[in-house]
Amino acid sequence: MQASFSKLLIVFFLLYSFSSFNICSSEEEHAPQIASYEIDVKLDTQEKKLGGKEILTFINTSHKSIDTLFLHLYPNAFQSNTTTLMKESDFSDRIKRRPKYRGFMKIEMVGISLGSDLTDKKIIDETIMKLPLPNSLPPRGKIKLEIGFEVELPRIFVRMGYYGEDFMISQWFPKMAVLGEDGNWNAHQYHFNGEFFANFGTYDVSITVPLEYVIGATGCLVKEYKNTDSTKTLVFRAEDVHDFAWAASPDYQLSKRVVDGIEVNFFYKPEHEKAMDRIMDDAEFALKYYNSCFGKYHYNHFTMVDTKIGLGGGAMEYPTLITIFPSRVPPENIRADALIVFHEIAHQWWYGMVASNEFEEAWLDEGFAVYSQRRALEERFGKRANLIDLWGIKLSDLDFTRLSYFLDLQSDPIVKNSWEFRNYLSYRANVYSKTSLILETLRNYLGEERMDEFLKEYFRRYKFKHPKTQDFIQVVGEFTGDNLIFVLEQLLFGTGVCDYEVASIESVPLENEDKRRRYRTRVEVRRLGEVVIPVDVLIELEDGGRIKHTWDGKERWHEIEIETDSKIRSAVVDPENKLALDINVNNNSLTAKSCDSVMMKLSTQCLFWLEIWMHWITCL
Amino acid sequence: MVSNKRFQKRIMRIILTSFVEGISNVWANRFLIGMMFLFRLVFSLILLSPLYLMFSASFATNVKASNFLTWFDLSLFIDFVYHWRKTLSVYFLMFILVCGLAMLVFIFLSGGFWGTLRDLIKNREQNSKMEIFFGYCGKYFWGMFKISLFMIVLYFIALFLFLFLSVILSSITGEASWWEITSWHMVVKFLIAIILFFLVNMSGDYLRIFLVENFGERFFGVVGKTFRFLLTNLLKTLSLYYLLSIVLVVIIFVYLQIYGIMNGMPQTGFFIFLIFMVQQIFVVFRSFYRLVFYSSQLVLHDKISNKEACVLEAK
Repeated sequence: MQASFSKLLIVFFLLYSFSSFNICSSEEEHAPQIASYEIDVKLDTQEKKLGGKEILTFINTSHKSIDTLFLHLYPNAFQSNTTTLMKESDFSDRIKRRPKYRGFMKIEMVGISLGSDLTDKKIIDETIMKLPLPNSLPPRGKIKLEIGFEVELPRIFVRMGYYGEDFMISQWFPKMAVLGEDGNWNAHQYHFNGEFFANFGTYDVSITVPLEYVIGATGCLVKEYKNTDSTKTLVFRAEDVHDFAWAASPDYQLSKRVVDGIEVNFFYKPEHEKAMDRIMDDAEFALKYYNSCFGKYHYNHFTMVDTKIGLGGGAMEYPTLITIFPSRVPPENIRADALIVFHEIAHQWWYGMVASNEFEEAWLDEGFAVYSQRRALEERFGKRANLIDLWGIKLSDLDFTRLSYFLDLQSDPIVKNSWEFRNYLSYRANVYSKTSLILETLRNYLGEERMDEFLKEYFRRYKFKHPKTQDFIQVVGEFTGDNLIFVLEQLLFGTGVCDYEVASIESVPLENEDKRRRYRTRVEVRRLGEVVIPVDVLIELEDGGRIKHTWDGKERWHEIEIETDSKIRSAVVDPENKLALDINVNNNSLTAKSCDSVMMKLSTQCLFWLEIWMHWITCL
Repeated sequence: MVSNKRFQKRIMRIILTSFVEGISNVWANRFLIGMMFLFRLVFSLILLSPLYLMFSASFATNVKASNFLTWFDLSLFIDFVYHWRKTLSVYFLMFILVCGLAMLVFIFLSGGFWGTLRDLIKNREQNSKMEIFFGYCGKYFWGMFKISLFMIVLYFIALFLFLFLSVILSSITGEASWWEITSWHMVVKFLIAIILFFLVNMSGDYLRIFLVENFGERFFGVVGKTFRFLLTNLLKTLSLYYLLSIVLVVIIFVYLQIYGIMNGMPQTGFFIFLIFMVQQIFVVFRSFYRLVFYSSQLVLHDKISNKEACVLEAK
């Protein structure tokens, strides 16, 4: 009895150890397992097809019983020129001109595991499949679906497809839509602007490919074996993630590195070998830096795949995996690769772990990723010329972001469904640039240390959750008080711009009874934009004296009148450049005397270059 | 072997004397340098004046504009462009129109430059009267205009030839990113581009020489004569062009060194003025040197033609 009890204890201990041992995530804390997948898929590299079967386990986390399930069939976005994605992508591509390059998903069978066959009951509307259930699923109820599917891959277009012998496989399997707490489904068509939204879960994916193929995928490789038909099967497991993507190529080379306990794999094309070390260094830097700024990366693996396949494959984030396209040997002083690597790795925090709804509130991850990428670029390459430092041209990421914000300032507010933006420029300007400039402004107001505390708290609170705009505002409020919430709401929900100017300055001598000369100094500042933000005004006097004044910015103009011992030299609104959103920094200051050397330098330089230009155009 | 060396020496002597005589001819006609410099200055000032007004409004009383004294602050520049975007789009239109006008005026003036220099070489007398200069401008305008149009066609042919050669080179050596400027096949591509550019430019110069020498002949007759001349004397003409270009490159390099040193000095009004003077001296030099190109090639053409005439007479 004693012996058998001991054996039982050992067996129990082993079982417990085995069940709690997570090979693919490094921390104890786990995401809610709402939608989990077991997928078995085979890639036919000749026919450019995927054939597979999945077992989808879904838990009803809403407060209501549900009688219909919604699933995304994203590959159907490539089936014709009339789909939402094709209509919204208003540029020309071979896929639009030649039907043979298109792709689609065919659902061969769908049914409840060990239960009813629902194949004939499914209703497919482009990229959404509606599946009526024979019996409703109660709150906390679990359902297991078995789905057989086939995907005809498109020639690479917007993240997915083949290019020669290379394959980028994303959004490729029937994927459960997100069920809200109120029992309503969040299931949108595949749109050109905006990305994706899904529940967390565990993915066990077996991929069968020809023997010569190398695969980079979400999750970690747990098993690999050869089959009898010149193919091999790779088994991946990804825990606490909300998507699974992979890329396959016969040419991939692999570079490995361990960073802070994270295994970093980079699958690169041989022609990018020279860029490999630099990209691995960038990835190492980003992982370490974001770990210290935002909170710890949850997983013990991270993969980068080189897609080299232009627009379609491009740079994109997936859980524990990013796609990049390195330039071959860029000059050290153009940091385009670093920008992409920093941006996509930042998405591991702002998308991967803090998983906002990219359909409806894309700013919560794209804007955060741009802000994080800037922080990393500044930390690594300095503030002034962290993007380009070549031939005297110094461009910082902040300059670049402001430039892209200027491309469409006022068409749309930030908080808006991604596909409802006026066009891609407006989407880009607001979701990416304006958001990151808001965060930059917030950083300037709070200070770097406090900003990091804020981001850490936001990350801690919403890790493995789906925060919304109001959640963000609430955390900001806790850190800054109500004043900044008022500002934030104007910036997020409005289309107004921020522009302050020093309109006039003057010092008039006062007639005094005592002999000391004094002046009445007046400074008029104006708010030209609609956004109201409190600003500082710094007045500098000729004797070196400095007077700082704070204006709440509520009125359209404000006059500062003071008595001073000497004349005014200059006045500057926002002297510390806190307002990254100000659309014209050139009107932020006024000097009493004009700066002749600056004008002289600018004009003589321009004159010289115009003369040289005249020389060249008369070569004909 | 000995005769080959003598031949090489003779060519070298012809080229060097053409170069030296070219310089002295231009120096003897200094007003031409003044005309060319004035042309550039006037049109540049026309283009500068609207920019000056915009700079003045944005930077003259801007505290941060002092950044421009030490480095090119792109953030100020980006805001400048955004703030003046509407005015700049009108300015851009004006820029195109003024450049078009400048090209026409230069085509007009080039008749005067070539005609005056040709007179000096043929008659050995200094012909500095303005009315004669402008007389040549009017006389050769239409011919010079046709040559300019023909040059556009030549540039396009050179561009297509360059693309064709690049494709062949890439198919042999494999694709290269444009970043890889240090790789040997990018260097080869760069050299091909330079050679083609030189060839087209040089052909344009000799077309003008033949136009001036054979005024009144049909245009394509002049073209035929020019290319016949170039093909029979390619070594001499190309050698002179390369000699002129190499000297120019050396002088540009020296200028860049001087500019680099001066730019590192404190940006006070005095030093800015000094840099301005150095730049203007450089522009004057470029005007002078373009005329040296014209003049040296005229001398070379004259020497070769005289020699051919002597040979014909002897026969």
